[in-house]
Amino acid sequence: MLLDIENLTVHLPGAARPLLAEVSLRVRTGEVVGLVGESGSGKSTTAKAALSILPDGARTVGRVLVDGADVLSMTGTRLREHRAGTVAMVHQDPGSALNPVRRVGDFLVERLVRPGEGSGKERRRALGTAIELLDAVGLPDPERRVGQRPHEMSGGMLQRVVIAGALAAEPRLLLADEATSALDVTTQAEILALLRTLREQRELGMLFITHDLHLAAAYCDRVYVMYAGRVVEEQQARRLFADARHPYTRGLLDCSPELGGTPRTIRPIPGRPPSLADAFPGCPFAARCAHSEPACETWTPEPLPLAGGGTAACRRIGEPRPGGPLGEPEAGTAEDPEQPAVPAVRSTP
Amino acid sequence: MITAIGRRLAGLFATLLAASFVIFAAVYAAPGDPAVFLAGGRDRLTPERLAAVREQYHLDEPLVVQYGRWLWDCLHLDLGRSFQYGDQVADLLGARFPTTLALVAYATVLFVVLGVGAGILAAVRRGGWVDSAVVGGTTLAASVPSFVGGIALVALFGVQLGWFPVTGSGEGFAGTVHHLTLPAVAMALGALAVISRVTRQAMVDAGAADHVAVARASGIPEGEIVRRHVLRNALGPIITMCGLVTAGMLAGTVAIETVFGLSGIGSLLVGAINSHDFPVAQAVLLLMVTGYVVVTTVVDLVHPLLDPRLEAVRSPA
Amino acid sequence: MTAVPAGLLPVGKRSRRSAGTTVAAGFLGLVVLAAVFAPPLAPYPPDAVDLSSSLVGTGPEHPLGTDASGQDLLSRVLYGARTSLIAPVLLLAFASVLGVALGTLAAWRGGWVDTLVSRATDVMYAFPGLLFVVLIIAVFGAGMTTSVLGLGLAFAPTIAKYTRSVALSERAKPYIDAYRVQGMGGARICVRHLVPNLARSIAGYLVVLFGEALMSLATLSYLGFGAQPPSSDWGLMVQEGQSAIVQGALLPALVPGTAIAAVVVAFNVVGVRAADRLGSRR
Repeated sequence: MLLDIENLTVHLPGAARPLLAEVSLRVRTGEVVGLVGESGSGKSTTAKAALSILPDGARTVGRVLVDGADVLSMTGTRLREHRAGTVAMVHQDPGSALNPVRRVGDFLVERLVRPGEGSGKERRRALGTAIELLDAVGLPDPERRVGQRPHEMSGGMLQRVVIAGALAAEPRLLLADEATSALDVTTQAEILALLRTLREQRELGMLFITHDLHLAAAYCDRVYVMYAGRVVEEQQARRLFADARHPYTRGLLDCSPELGGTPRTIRPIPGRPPSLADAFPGCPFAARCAHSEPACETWTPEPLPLAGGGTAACRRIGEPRPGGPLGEPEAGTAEDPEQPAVPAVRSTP
Repeated sequence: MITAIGRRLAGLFATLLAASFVIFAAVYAAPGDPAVFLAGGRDRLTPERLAAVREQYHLDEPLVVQYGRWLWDCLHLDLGRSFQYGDQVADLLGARFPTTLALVAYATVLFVVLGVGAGILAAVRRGGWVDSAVVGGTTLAASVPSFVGGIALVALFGVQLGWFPVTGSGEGFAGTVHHLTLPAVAMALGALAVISRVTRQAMVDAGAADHVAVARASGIPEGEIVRRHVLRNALGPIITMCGLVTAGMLAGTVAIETVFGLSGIGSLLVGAINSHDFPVAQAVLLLMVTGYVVVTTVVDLVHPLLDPRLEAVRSPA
Repeated sequence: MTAVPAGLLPVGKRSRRSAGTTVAAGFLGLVVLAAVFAPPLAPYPPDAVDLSSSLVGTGPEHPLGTDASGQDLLSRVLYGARTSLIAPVLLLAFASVLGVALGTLAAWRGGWVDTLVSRATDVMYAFPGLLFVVLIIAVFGAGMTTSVLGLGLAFAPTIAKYTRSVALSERAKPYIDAYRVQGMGGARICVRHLVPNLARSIAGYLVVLFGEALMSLATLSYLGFGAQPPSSDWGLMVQEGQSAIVQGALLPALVPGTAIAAVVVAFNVVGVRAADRLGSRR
């Protein structure tokens, strides 16, 4: 297992609830795993835990293993080498990921040169590698680009540079944190294709973080959905559209319009996304859930296995279908995605 | 870019012209006959002196013509004659300026190295005891007038410990450094406080940028991050402030040279005022103001070179 | 941020570093009391020359020793607090009358008045440090009055610039327009409404400037341009005491020097907080 997060809980002093609550997540080599949630759901915190980047003053319970090594216990040089070698991150806004006053080449060279190898010869060789990397991420005219500064390039070009910087470390795990969200649609498609190609060529594991469930379901092999610091559902991506099981996941799917088919009602999830000031004695989604029962308010969520693989942290998953809309479907009766069982709820957010 | 430089240089000349006019025309604000004033007052008045002044300053012509001629003479280093020393003012300045320049240079090296160093240290160790010590120390240093600091240094290191001479500017390089150490330290203290605060704040601001967090997440060594990302990006305000403070130091020599009995242009100015030697005072003021305005303009012009984004914004203009 | 009433500041911000501020404010209070009650407090008249007890160190007769002419240093420092504290107040009063008037005028009228004020300010700023005052002293001769007025002129542009910036944002507020609509004249609005509303913020700024004003005056007195003998101005005392240092008597210079430094430190500590409380910009 490349990345194995085991029951990670992160407490922040002054917050009413944990930033992350018993998050378990796994990424295998060669696998693209999606991590979906609204802002504040803890998806970025989860990803950054793989680099042992946690908010100041955070207390953690649980383990984060990368290639079997416990990341959270690393310090000093060991941690630096881990960040410089095994795991690399591609950030959301390429425009602010690069130092505006330095050249693109410097950005790559400082990731290619190991500490103490700062001689002119080594830097020149590193610059050669940097040009190859820029070529590999599909940036035209890389010899000229290494001499340019960030403000001379477009967002899409910069994101290619950032990806090249991530590859410079020859990592085994790539964390793509909203890597395409700030780009326009055509550029987004190019970057998505590039990431997929790179994953195949370099046998990377990839954790793809996005707020867009449709994108994740279409792009990834497996998807985790997070809500209020918890993983609420984990499923094979291809099953997700057809058979999302957690009410929140379904809510997300119903939120966004879809191309083709018959036009359907867009149903926003009622209520507002929880903040760190909201504490939940039971299921955090209960207050916004159309299917919640009084017992949900006190039920401590735990991932329950689904029949087709995956898990969902909903109390009512185990109930037989006739008694409740969320129960396991009877064999052979696949649910019609155009007619979701969740009744449309309209309310002012 | 060219237009911006041109505009800045035009501003430089306008300011210099106006300031020099103020220095020149101040004579007319003095009570009594300007000729008598320029000749050093009524008590030392002789007909020859009065005639010499009238001739030197063209006092019979209109004010603007007088000013023009005076400025023209100044540009040709003909700064008139000192009635106190009986010398050409230009010669006096030439003899005294090296000491002042050495003092300012020494103090500049001290405050840049120590001030920027302390600021970096405070920023890197933000919130720790080093930071508190630097912030507290600079609050103190900024509140002590340089002449008081200078006298405290003389009392401690000059008289009590006897490590440094208390007056004079010394012979040769080693001698000069030895003699100028206390005055330079006294001048640098206040400047050091300003620079270390500016450095600390600029570093803290630059360190909050996203790309620094990105670099840290990429496992780049902390030393590299501080040097190539934080300090590099904080250089703009730091260098600007260093330049401005250095420019202001020329005026600071007035007090420090008096404390340490150095014969530079600062003490020359004080002496000239006390002995009513107005031509000398005018010349020193003109020199100091010119130096100040030129250095601040240069600093202004250098700033965009440090930030390629500014360069890009300016060049199409 | 413009004038935030002190009551609206977050509590945490108010209590921060309050210990240091309290100590500094207490010290300043003592200094003011010492200046007011100098006659009963001082063991000797400040100008009592006693050449037989020249350069005496600390002792029961002279708690802080004496200077070269045998004058009691404690008595002189206590009396010196009067000139050393009142002179900066007068200076700032003169500078703020001038600066606030010019700054308000520039902000209210805009156009060529504004340009003229800012050009004049630029020329003043071309004189670094104390050089503008030095020029004035070169022309009008040394003395406390010249120094206070000259420094007042030199400080005025800074205050004018500050006033202009706060007045511009205040002028944009709707209540000013309301008075205009009522037909009130510009001068009346400025004097009755605009300036009084800026007063808090400007006062905070003046507290910050006080330390600098005191330092500048002390420097001028030290150079012989300000207070003249037999004054007990602290800056002048340092100058008079300096020659005794070489003879090993440090107190005549260090006692007034320490007094200057301590008061300025205290004022700067209090000034920063006062400026925050009064909502001054920095």
